[in-house]
Amino acid sequence: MSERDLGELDVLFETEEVEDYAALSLAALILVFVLMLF
Amino acid sequence: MGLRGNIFKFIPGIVMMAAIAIFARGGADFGCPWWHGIETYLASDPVVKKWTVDTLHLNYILICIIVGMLIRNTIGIPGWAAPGIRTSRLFIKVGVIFLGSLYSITELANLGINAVTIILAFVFATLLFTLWLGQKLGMDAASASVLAAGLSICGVSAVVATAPAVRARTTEVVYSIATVLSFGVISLFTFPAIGTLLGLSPHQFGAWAGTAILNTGQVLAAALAFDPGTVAHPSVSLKTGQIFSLARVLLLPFVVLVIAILYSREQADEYNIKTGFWNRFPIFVLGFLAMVFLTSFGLLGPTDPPSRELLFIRNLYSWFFAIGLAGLGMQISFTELRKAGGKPLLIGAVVALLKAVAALVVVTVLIRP
Repeated sequence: MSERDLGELDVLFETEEVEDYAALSLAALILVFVLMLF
Repeated sequence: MGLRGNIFKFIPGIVMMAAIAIFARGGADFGCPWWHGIETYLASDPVVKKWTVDTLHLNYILICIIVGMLIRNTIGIPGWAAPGIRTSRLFIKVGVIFLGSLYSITELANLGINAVTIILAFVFATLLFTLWLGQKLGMDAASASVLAAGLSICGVSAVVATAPAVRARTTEVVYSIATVLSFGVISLFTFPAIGTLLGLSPHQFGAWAGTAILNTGQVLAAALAFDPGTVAHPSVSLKTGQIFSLARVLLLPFVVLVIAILYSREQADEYNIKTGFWNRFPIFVLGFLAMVFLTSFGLLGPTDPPSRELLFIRNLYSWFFAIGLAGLGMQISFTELRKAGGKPLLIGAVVALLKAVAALVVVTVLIRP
């Protein structure tokens, strides 16, 4: 197992939360857009 | 890679995933009405349709995954596309949030009670059985724990979440991830065919896939392959499968907690259980619940017949899934899968097969068509 692979796994540990917030923000933005559109 | 940094570096990969999605699903929504999608072309010939669409359930979702897998394992992923492709899980999560527009609170409660009961039994039975089998076959506690988490909850995230709690070596993590992914890929293509062969109803299939398939993306893909649905009549398998899958994802922090406690007892180790628990709570599920509330209280218009807002959102989540799953396909590397081996593979095979059969029996007995 190389250092690079270890680094990638560490990044995985970190980003799940960031990804969740990004998904929530993106969904909220799209929803506002949809409500304005119709 | 996080979402920080230069946003532009994500664009080429996202465009590549979107191109695959349009190739599979058609370009009508993107100003290319002349391209009907590869699925439509397969269905136009009766003989090809019988084998590809009817038997193998090759709809746009599976086509997206297959094209992604083919690109990854033949020409490879170009460096400029890699950052964007890593955002595939984000697309799946946004799709899951919008999927909330299919449910009412009552429906969610009814489905939820069934799902939580079955999932709870399966998650903890799989967890304890894998730990026991691992011990019997002489696996060390850390390896058995990460594998048990992967096989009982939602695959890769569970393996990754448990690893620090049991201080697993990276090789053990990689073996477990490869084992879990291998079975996911196999079930993705076999479950829809078996479901048709056994004459399962879309609702039963959703419950089976949601209980036995490990990865959320793969549950969604199998459910949509079995019962694609339309914008006006959304897939029943997807609706049921999603609830079962989410019930399992929500159990992730509890499983990490149980494993951490069992492991610390054995190793006289100290793991910060409180932080470990809250760090693993899947926050995006709150978005899904918010969507269920918004739909139930009529903020997005009437549900029957669905309002224009709801129809738009339902078409949108199909695109999000198509794009996300094209990216998921591009992350399946046969070289990585070949890393699965030894005891994790043997135990994984036994547990995954037993779980698939047991879930099938439970679902056909307990869930009415």
